[in-house]
Amino acid sequence: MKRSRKFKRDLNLIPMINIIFLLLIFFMLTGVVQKKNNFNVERPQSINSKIEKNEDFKTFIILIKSSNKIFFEDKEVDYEFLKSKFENYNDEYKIVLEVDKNLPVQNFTEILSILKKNKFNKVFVRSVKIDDN
Amino acid sequence: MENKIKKNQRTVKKKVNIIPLIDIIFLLLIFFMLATNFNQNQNIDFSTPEKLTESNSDSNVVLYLKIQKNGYFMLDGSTFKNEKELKKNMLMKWDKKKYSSLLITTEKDVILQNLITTMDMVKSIGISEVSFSGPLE
Repeated sequence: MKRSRKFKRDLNLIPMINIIFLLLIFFMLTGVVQKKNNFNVERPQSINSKIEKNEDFKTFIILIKSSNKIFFEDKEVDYEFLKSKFENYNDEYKIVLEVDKNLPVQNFTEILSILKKNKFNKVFVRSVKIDDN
Repeated sequence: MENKIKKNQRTVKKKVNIIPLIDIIFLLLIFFMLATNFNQNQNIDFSTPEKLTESNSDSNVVLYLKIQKNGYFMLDGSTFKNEKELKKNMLMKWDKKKYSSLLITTEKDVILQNLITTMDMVKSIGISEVSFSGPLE
């Protein structure tokens, strides 16, 4: 009699812990930890956006703000830096451009021409998918 | 008295305190819930076709489309006020036999979004031979 009362007083926490563990494992395995974007880049919208494939290519991400500030590996860089940086790489690499949609086209083409000169063939621009009206 | 204390200690030792464990799991759970991202990145492909120079050396004519800063479009010398008009005329004008490709140029300071919207429109009407160059000065 005394025993059963004691059991009742204790809340059984084991099922709760099980469920929390399950949720934890789910989030750990399915999600990708988001890299915080401190640069406020507004991605251009396009109906031709395609979901990025996870390929074996090594990826370089270049970020360009609408004010034409260029960031590479979290550091602000200029065109000259990019020119010299990419000189020694070949086309096994993939370039992803995180470009603001308000960037003037001439700055965008400047970047593209640097990449093309260095024979980067796989160039992608991060975008937001919109529906075709 | 002594006996009572001993008994108490024994009962404390018998039970493992799992509350801190739960705390930590909860913390981890909240961290992963907030930090994970299920959105997949989406890209527009700007990759260079393998044979880029071949089409340029073609003797066929290139159709020029210029995006102006005021939002107007200039297609082969005639101006169009908006995308709808341009689309209509482009459908009439575009002839695969006559033109080898469509070259999109822009005025200076036209924003990237306008270029991408125009390229989308061009692709949606079935023109795949598209190239673009920066502002021609």
